[in-house]
Amino acid sequence: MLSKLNPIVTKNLEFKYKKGAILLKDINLSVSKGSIYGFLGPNGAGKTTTMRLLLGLLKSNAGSVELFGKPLPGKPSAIFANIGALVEQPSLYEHLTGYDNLDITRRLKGLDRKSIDNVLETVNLTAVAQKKVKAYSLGMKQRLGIALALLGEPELLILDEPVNGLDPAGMVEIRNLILKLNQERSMTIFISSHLLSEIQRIATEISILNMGQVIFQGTIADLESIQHSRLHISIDTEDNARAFELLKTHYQVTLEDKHLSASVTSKTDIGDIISTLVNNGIRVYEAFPAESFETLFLNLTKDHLLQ
Amino acid sequence: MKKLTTVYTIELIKLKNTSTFGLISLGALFIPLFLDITVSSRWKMYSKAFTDVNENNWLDYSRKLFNGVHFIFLPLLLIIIIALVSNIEYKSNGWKHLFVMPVSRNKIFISKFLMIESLALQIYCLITLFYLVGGHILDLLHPVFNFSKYPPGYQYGGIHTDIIPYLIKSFLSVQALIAIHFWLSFRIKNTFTVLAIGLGGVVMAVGMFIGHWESLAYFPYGSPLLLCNYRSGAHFLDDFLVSSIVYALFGIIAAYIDFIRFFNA
Repeated sequence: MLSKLNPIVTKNLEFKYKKGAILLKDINLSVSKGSIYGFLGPNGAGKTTTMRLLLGLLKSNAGSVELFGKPLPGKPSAIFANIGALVEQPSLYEHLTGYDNLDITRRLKGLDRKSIDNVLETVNLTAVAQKKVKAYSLGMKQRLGIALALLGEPELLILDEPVNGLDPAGMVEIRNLILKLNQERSMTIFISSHLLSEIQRIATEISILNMGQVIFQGTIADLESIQHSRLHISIDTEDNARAFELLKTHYQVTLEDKHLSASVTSKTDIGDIISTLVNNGIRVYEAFPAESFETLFLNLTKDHLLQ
Repeated sequence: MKKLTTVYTIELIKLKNTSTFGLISLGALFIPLFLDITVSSRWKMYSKAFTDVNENNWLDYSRKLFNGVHFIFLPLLLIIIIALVSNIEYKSNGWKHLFVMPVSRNKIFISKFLMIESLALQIYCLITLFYLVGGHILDLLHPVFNFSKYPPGYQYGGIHTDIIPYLIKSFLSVQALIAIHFWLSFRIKNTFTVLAIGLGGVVMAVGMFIGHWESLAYFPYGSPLLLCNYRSGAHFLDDFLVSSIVYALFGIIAAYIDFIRFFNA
């Protein structure tokens, strides 16, 4: 039965290893049902540790985790029946075939044999199902790991860096699979990555983790509005040097290698700058936000570091 | 109950394409085969030696065979099997996947322990089979042994024991070692460290055995050795068997508490 509750809710989650520094502090996550929730952060931020806490693989020092309204730790049969997870590298018995690996999980979840054929088809591994996993490529192993998580058509899928080690074609394949699962099966997908470009393409909500703390949580649109509110623009004209001379007395402008960068106080200034250039006979080729998502991400984490 | 049998079946599936069953079969065959070849190559000497002592040649044949089994060989075979089987989960990074399945840690623990015990039972069944078959093959090759005329039995120091009680005592004698190594298998990730601890324990037990240390009876690795040239006592459960059972109980309880409360994937 489909649950109406938010699949993942954490409150003031905190974690540290014995005698160690606090690795995670005040983690408050709320993942909406049916969303693709991107969990971003640089390497070492604590993403995998958070995911382990969400799945009960680690015990928190403070705070709580609820999966579909059920607190952890709890009865595994009640909590994990509707959840599929892939944390770090896939857990594969390499001496067994892909089919046998799926059969083990199928039996643990109490599913029938047909479910194996369904997931093999979903991840496009039917042709190699009877081969031993040690003969699989990295991409095939990653897809098999996702297949294991998909068995039983869970309501919630938790994926930790699922495109790690994949080539661009593999990344596209996984990305399309995630979108398909979300759109066709209304699956809630919690996916962590350090690749903002990948998350940006698929996520409906994101949070950014840095040094064990959440520094942003919201939708992609919220992040875009931050990007726009910071009002840094890049302008490319037919004569950037002359444009710089024209603008420098009235605006905060710097001349870069192949464009101008300008910091303005309001959107009106953007229009004024373009008008000034055009009225002085300088053609404007393009004007766009200077702070890309990547730069915004880096700046957000850098600003957090400085606080 | 259904879930427990499911989890146990899964443990069996994990042994597919591994060397476990081959190792068990070859391990169980080794001593009986070695003894048969030795006895067969010097059958005149052995037939005289056996008959001088007993009419029933099974008695001395059994003693020689099970001395060979219990002196180092069986303990080491068990230690290796437990280490190899337990390493499957570490090698595949399987614990974290297992712990996010809708199955309790209780059932995982019990099924893994039952798997180890059933492999140990398998070793015993095969040793017994090869012992019986070996005796009858010797009889076929050299009828002077008369194995077909007498029932299998064990005798030392003039005291005769039926073979079944002897085998039961043998199984009890290895329980301490099984429980300890089962516990170690998920406390220590490195297989070689676990093997080294086992080897150290067996070597220490051999040293104590050769030095006739009485405290060998209370050393967990020592119980199997005390079944070499075994002379049964007044009670079915000798001191070293009681000691093995007590160590096994402590080992299982400690392993259970450790696994349920502290073990992290």
